[in-house]
Amino acid sequence: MSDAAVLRVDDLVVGYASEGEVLRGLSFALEANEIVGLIGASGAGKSTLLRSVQRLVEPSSGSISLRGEELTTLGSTELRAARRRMGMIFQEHALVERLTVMENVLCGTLGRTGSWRAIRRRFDAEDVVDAFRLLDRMGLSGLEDRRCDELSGGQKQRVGIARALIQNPELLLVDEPTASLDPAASVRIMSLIAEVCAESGLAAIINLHDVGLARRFCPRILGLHEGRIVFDGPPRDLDDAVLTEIYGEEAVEPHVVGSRQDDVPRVD
Amino acid sequence: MPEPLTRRRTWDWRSPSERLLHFVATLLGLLGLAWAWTHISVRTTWAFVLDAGVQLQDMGARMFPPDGSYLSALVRPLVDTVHIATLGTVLGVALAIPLAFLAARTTTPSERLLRPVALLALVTSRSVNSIIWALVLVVLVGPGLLAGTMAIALRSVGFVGKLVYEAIEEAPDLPVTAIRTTGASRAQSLAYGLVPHVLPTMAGVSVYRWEINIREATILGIVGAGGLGMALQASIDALAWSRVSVILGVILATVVLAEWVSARVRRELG
Ligand SMILES: Nc1ncnc2c1ncn2[C@@H]1O[C@H](COP(=O)(O)OP(=O)(O)OP(=O)(O)O)[C@@H](O)[C@H]1O
Ligand SMILES: [Mg+2]
Repeated sequence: MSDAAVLRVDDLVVGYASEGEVLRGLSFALEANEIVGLIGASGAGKSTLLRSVQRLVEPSSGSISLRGEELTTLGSTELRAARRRMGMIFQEHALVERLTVMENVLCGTLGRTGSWRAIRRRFDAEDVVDAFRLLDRMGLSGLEDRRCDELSGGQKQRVGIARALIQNPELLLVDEPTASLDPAASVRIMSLIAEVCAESGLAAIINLHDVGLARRFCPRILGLHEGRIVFDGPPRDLDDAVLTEIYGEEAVEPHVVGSRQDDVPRVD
Repeated sequence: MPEPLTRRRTWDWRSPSERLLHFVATLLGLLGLAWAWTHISVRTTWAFVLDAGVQLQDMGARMFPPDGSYLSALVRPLVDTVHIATLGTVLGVALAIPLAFLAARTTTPSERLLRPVALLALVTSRSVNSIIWALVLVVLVGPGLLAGTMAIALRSVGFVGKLVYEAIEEAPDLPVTAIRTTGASRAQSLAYGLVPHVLPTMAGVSVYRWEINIREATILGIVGAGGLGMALQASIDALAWSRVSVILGVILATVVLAEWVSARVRRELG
């Protein structure tokens, strides 16, 4: 069966030994070019969803498929091949702080670099050219030899994005890319992610705490509450009733989750 | 009776029962010390101890003046000592690093089998003093440099291995996970995500161990494992006290120099 969806998740159940079930039967599909914002209270299971797509957590039941290829049953070699097709961006950057910007970006090519070459840091010349191009695109020109522990939070996040993009992925899994940034830097990072997705026809799932950012950058929003999808639609359908369902009573005041469109910070 | 409007709130570092426990524990500790002292005291020939001052004066007199001409004969043993320490350290580190990866909970390929085996190897190495290792090895491979080098190596494995495996376990796991999500193999993600974090520890611990090994190598000769210790043993046996003082001076200078080098290198690494 051919499948137009980049990612299809069906009746997914995921749990941790200590927590019980965290995701309780999720289903949704992601078309090419589609950017989906995933919102939900802390502990709702947003990170768990992304981690289970990468099989960093093993689902207990249900199915996840990438362009029709079932991921939940892959052996380790095929899993590595599948992971190469999905770039992941982390809230805490997850860079190797003691390596340089260039080394961190080139880590994204390890999936296609032989082990022996990788040990000797002998990367493909094409990949190096690609890394320079991405650093320029991320606004990090000239920083390639800087050690990552000398960068600002926003710069680190850009290195993380470059590392994911150099994989040439079909799908981006983005976990709270702006959680440690100020409002203006958050908007810049989100614009950058939206732009590169549009440029390369990438699909993306972006976990966000900031409903305002989700409204502004994600044409489709999924609302997660206690491991279930309680909302799936465009930002304009995201009204106070829905937000109450996602976040609970206390949260729904404009200044808390920004339920009004014009609360979104602007940098133009 | 009316409730007081505001009850005084108090806070104590230790509760009364904890205080009692601490008091009893301290008392028992002191009694134990007193008992140990009497134990040692009855087994000491106090006449010898009281005589120590006189003996010291006597030995000092025989040590001076140091026999300066003996210095040239010490070059060879000194070079041997440095060789034993350095080669032994290199060998020990080469064995310790793979063991550390097997022993660290986060990197071991088999928690049930290989990890306990690696931990046991590290503990065994550490629990036996270099001198004891040297005694055994002199019997096994004969007296000389090889026995000394192997003794130093075997003792270093446990020391370096333990500190490195602890550094591995404490290294952040998020970078490794992130690299795994790019489709990298487990070995690649460790080489890129973990090794850069433990490399400074590996280097620092190795240099520190080298410094300790210089110190230990000066003494191994006492049991026939080569180096300055052998010269020391020979001079003491021959009652050549003016040479003993020269050897002790050379040992002191070597150790001070080694500590200085080690401190410098580790400062650079930090
Ligand atoms: N490694 C883990 N082991 C055990 N339980 C976990 C683990 N990771 C997450 N959990 C639990 O799973 C639930 C969902 O966590 P998850 O991180 O997916 O939530 P989230 O929606 O991403 O929250 P946040 O917005 O705070 O990041 C939480 O109750 C959490 O305690
Ligand atoms: Mg999360």
